[in-house]
Order: sequence, then C-alpha cells, then structure tokens
Amino acid sequence: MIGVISLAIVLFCSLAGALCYGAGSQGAVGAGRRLNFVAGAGAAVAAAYLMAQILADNFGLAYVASYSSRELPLVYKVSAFWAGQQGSFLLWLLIHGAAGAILACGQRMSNSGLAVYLALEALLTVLVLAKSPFVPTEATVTDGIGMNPLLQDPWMAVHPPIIFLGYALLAIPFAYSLGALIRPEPAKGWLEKARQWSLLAWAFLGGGIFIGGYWAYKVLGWGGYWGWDPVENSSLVPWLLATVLVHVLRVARVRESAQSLVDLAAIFTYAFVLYGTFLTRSGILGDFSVHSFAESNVGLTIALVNAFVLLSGLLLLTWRAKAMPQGELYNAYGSREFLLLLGMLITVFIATIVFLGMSMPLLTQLAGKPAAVDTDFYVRTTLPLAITMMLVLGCACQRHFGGRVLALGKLPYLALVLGMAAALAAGVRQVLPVLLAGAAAMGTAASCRSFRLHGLGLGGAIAHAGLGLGLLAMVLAGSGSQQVSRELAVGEAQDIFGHEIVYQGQEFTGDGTAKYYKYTVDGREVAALTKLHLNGEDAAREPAIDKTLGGDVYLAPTPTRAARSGIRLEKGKSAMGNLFLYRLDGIDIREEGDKMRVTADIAVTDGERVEHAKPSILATSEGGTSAPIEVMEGRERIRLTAVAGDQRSARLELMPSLQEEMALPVQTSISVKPVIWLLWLSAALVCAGCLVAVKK
Amino acid sequence: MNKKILLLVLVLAFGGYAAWSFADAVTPYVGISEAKAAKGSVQVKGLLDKAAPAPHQEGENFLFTLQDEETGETLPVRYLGTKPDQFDEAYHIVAIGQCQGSEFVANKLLIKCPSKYEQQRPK
Repeated sequence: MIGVISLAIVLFCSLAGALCYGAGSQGAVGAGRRLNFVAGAGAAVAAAYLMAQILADNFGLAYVASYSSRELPLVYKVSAFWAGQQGSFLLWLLIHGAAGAILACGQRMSNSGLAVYLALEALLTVLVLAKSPFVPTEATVTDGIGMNPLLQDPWMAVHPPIIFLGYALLAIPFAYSLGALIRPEPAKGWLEKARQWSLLAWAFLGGGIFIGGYWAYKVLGWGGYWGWDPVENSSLVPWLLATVLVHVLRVARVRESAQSLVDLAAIFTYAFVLYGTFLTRSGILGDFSVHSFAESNVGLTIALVNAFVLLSGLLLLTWRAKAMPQGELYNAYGSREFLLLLGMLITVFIATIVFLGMSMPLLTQLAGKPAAVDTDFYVRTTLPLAITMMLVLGCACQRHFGGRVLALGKLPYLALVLGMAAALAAGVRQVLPVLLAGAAAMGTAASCRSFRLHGLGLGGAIAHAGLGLGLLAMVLAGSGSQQVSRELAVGEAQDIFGHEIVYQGQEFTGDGTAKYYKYTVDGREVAALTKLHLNGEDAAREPAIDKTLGGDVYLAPTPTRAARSGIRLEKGKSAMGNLFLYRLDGIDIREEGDKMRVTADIAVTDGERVEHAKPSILATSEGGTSAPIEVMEGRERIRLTAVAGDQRSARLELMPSLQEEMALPVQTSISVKPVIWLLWLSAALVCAGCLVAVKK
Repeated sequence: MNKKILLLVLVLAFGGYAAWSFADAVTPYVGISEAKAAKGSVQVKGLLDKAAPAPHQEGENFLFTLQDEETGETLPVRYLGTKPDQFDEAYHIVAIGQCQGSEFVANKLLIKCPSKYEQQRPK
C-alpha cells in the first residue's frame, strides 16, 4: 500500500508542480518547488519501501517473489531491485526525482524548464504505475523464485543503475531546451548548464554500455562484447544522439544559430531513450532478440508517452522556428564548425542505420511480412561511415573555430601508416578494416597533437583519443580474431594459434553449486566457471580467459555431462539400473518449517551386499529440488525425481560417478583476440575524458 | 543557398547508401515450408523435434531438427558452431541461414527462453 500511495503522491505532486512552475508567478513558483521536493521524496519512499520488502523477503509482492529469494546473497537482493522491468522503471523514476530536486535548488533551471521536467516525471510515474512492482502475489510463495543465475554477477550491481542514470539525466537537456522554447531566455544562461548535464548523462550512459559490453564478454550466452542485439542497439542510438547533442552544444557556444540544432538533438535524444524502452519492454521484438524482456502489455503506454514527447517537442520547435537566432553555422569548409557538424551528420547517419536495423522487424511487420537484418549488416554498413568520421575528426583537430590552421606536423600521418601496419600484422586482410585502423590511429594522434597546441581541451583530447584507440582495438581484436572448435581430451596438449592448450578436466566446488572446466594455456592455469542448479543442471556459464599483453585466449567449453537415465521403482519390487539393483523400501514425508521433505528409502545391491540410500526431494509451493547422492562408494549417483501420490512408486535418475563425469573430453571453442585490453582501456578513456570536460 | 544543397546531397547520398545496404541484408521471417523454397537467407522459427535423432555435435557443426509448430513439418538444421547456451531449455529456436539441399545451414541461432531476465522455476 505504502508503495502505491507514494507513487500516487509523486504523480499528483509532479503534475501540480508542473502547473505551478508553468504559471510562473512568484507564489506559484514557490509552491512548485515544494511540490517538486515532495515528488522526489515520494519516489524515494516508494523505492525505499520496495528495497525494504526485498531485503525482508516479503514474497507477498509478486515482484519480490519473482526476482528475489530467501537464500540470495545480499548484493543480489539489492540488485533484484532492478532485475525486472517494474523495479527498473522505479529506479529510473527515483533518479529522475532526485535530479529534479537538485535542479530546483538555486537558479539551476528556468521555471518553464522545471515545468517540462516535472511533466516528464509525471509521465514516468504513469509508466511505473502501469507496470507496478507493488502488485501482490496471487498464490502464497515461501522462498521466492530468485534471480536468474546468469544475472548473479557483481556487474549486475552496477551496470543497470549506471545505464538508468544516463537515461534519466538525458531528460535534463530536454527540459532546458523545451523550457527555453516555451519562454525564450538568453541562450548563454542555459546552454552551458545544459552542456554540463548532457556530458554527465553521456558519460554515464556510455559507461553503462561499456560495462555491459565487458560483462557480455566475460560470460557466455550474450554473444560477446557487442552483439548488435536490439536491447544493446536501443541504448546505443540515444548515446549516439547524445554525442551529437554535446557536440552541437559546443558549436552553439561560438555560433548562436546552432541553438535550433541543440533543441533538435535534445528532443530526439530523449525521444529515442523512450523509443528504446518501448522496443525492448513491449516484447514486440521477442522473436528477434536474445535478451528482450518477456511480452507485456505496457508497450502501448510507452508508445503513447514516446509519441507525445517527440511530437510536442517538434511542434514547439516549429512554432518558435522564426524566433530562433538566425545566421551562418560556419564561415568556411575549412573551419572547425563545419568539420564538427559534418562529423555529427555522419554520427546521425550511423544512428539512423542502427535505428532502422533494430526497428526492421517492427517496420516490416506493419508492411505484412516480418523480417530482420543480420548482425553483419551493421558492421558492413557502418564501417565506411566510421572511416569517414575518423578522417573528419583528424581534419577538425587541425582547425580552430573560424578556420585558423593548427600545424599538427607529421605525427598524424605516421599514425595512419602505423595503424594500418598494426592491422596487417594482426592478420587483418580486408580493405575497409585496415583503412579504419589507420584512420582511427590518425584520429588519436591528431587529438593528442591538437591538445598540445591548445586546439582541444584536456577532456576532449582524452575522449577523442579514446574513441580512436577503441576503433583501432575493435579492428585488431575483432577482424584480427581467429576461432576454431576442438574436442579436447583430459591431459592432451594441442597447439592452437601458437598456444599450447591442455584441458585438465572438470572440478566441482565443495558445495556442488558450481564446477570449473580447467585448462592451461602455455602453462598458465585458467578455468571456465559453470554455475549449477541444485539438480546438477547447468545454470549459467562463463568462458576461461587467458589474459596477456598480446591479447586474450578465450576458451568456451560446450556443456558436457555423462548420460543420465531414469528408472521407475514400485514398492517392494527390484529394478535393474546401470550397475546395481534398486528396490524401493519406503517413503517418508516430513515437514521442515513451511517446506516438505520427501525421502525415499532405497535398497541398492550389487548382488553381494546391500546398502540403503536415502535420496530426498525438498518440496515448496514453488516446486521441488533434489540433489544427487552417491551410492556404493560413489560408483553411481542417484537422484529422486518423483514420488507417486499413493506413495507406492517413485522415480530415480541414475548418473555415473563424479570421476567418470570429470574425465569426459570437452568440445571447446577457442579464439584469440589480439590486444582486446586496449578496448577496455579506450572505453575508460572516453568516459574519463567526458567527465573531465564537465568541469570548465 | 548552396549550403542547403550540400546538406541535401549528403543526405540523399546517405539515403541511397542505406537503401542499397538494407536491400541486401533483410532476412524475412518464414515457416519451414517457405524456408525450403526460399532462395536467399531467411529466419525460420520452430520447436526442437524430439522424435528426430538427438541433437549432437559433428566436428565444427551442431546438428538438430526443427519442427513447425503448426504444420508439424520438420527441417534438419546444421548450425555452424557448437551447442548454444540454454539450448535444452528453449521453447522456440530461431535459425538464420538458408537451405542447401535437404539441410538448413544456419550461421546463427536465437534461443528463445521464457526470458533470460526471469528465473525459471526450480525443477
């Protein structure tokens, strides 16, 4: 109840606050500020309430029951807050509300801007209410379903909040822009503040995307650091548009007439944040994505909010078009202004390609026959654009605003040659990737030189050098990567891509919740973790990665396990298993707290002696779990899988000994990824540069 | 005025480029019978055919059989890779590729689980 009431308060206060700020009289603005604070506090109360319910294992809430469980470690209980759609929307609202309270202090934003901001807050609240995390559970749940083992990773604690920080903060430049359109004010006042907030949002969204990429690389099942999946693309498009936003904001500092471009970029950026949310949360891409959320009915609401935001922004801009500062955007083709805008036009083109690609299933569905693009398409199409963009970056670095030339010297040209040589040395043989490696290296060198000559600020230089290094790393680690799949027997050394790789067998952890596939690469030990369900099935898998300065050797084992068979036992009768004779002697049912333990008494014999084994199932309202137990000195393992209602028969699953399973050969996909660490480094540089640029 | 023309030329050039690259890349979403008849690359969705030989690795390839949910028609698939994650838990499999002879050669598989973000019920 507290949750829903708090959300209702947020909705009321943000709407009333928007109206008060919109009215603009002194008294109304004072009320608006108080309503803004109350709305922020309401969101905080709702979030705190949900967090408290998760930590207290209150499975009376469907959300808590679906995403958390009693045994979940604390860090994942906290993460369960944003493991599902409902909670992640609430997290978004919480950040939006907190930022709103910050904006209301001092003279950070105009009243009309705050009115727009609070209107957005009301829309977000509608989304949270439409898909509320505070819906009660229908049946009684005792333990909770828990978090998908794939998500039980330390990165789960940071990746989603950082992404949502980026999404939420992009509302701020949107509000600045629309505020200034509703009630014109001197651009100098708000442009600088909008620039700082945009950079902050851009750094967080970029950081979130990069962390997601690294996470997807170090687990299996998400197709490597970037898979051009709709979920990934839907965060890339707003980030690319935010890139355009921060650059046109820079141009607007020297060219007033760029203000309408700023408005356009701010509107489209936020609209695409919402569009990406719509695409991934509505479930319409279910058949096209490896990790869309399941189908839901919130799609229409998001689509309406999205259309409303985009159309109201564009209409407002058209209405004010005449009153916008007029004049030249650039004076010569050789000026920084022109080159910068050209680079941004190319960025818009890339965003358009990604947008059309990810929306293709939706667009073609409207035309009748659904179709999708293959992922190679994105690389193929954006490659020439990326090369052009890096060349334009190189040129822009050697010009000042207005067109004065900076003498960058020979270094950029040297870098161009070195970049191409590095690609060739890494084994890249296609023309375009080699060209991209050269252009990217040139862009990096030009950014560094330009900084030395005071053409580029420190933040800008770091971020652009990072971008160049990142593209170079993508060519070297991507196009330069080699892959092969081999069956590896325990102890047998194989020479693959110049590395001596030996599979050392499987090792189970003491508590049976995980196992490792162990390898040595050139003598160095690495292990691939596989998390296990209680019944012994694979739950989530990671690769084994041997990291060196030259790059990574990436080993992905295919799940291997010994064959299992099932037998049905009738009370008092014997049945033959693989090695031994089994007989069901009795079934015992006992309550353990609010759970039920069903234990079977099984007599096992090899013909000479008899041993009694007691496999059991722990049953809860959500289902049952049963772990395998060893019989006859571990020569076979058995697991109780079912018991008949009349307790006259039971089913057993039989599996060979642990030793036998651990010694099985394993099919392994082996790939080498030259200097992939450079990619992680460059991503960190891009974000760091961006944060440096916020201060100025 | 010529600045607007420049912009127009750039945008048109890009539009042409985008249209040309999309024309090649779009793979339609079809049923099994259409997949057998199709010339180019398609996406085909089906269930794992439990009656067919068990899915298995053959060298670098992973072999299994898809079954059309409605017609029950089957299609042997040769996936150019190893067994994907969560293959056993899939309720739908989408294979992307094209028919070569009687086999469907897939270069990509999408495994549709209830949702990767939602935990499955413990067994």
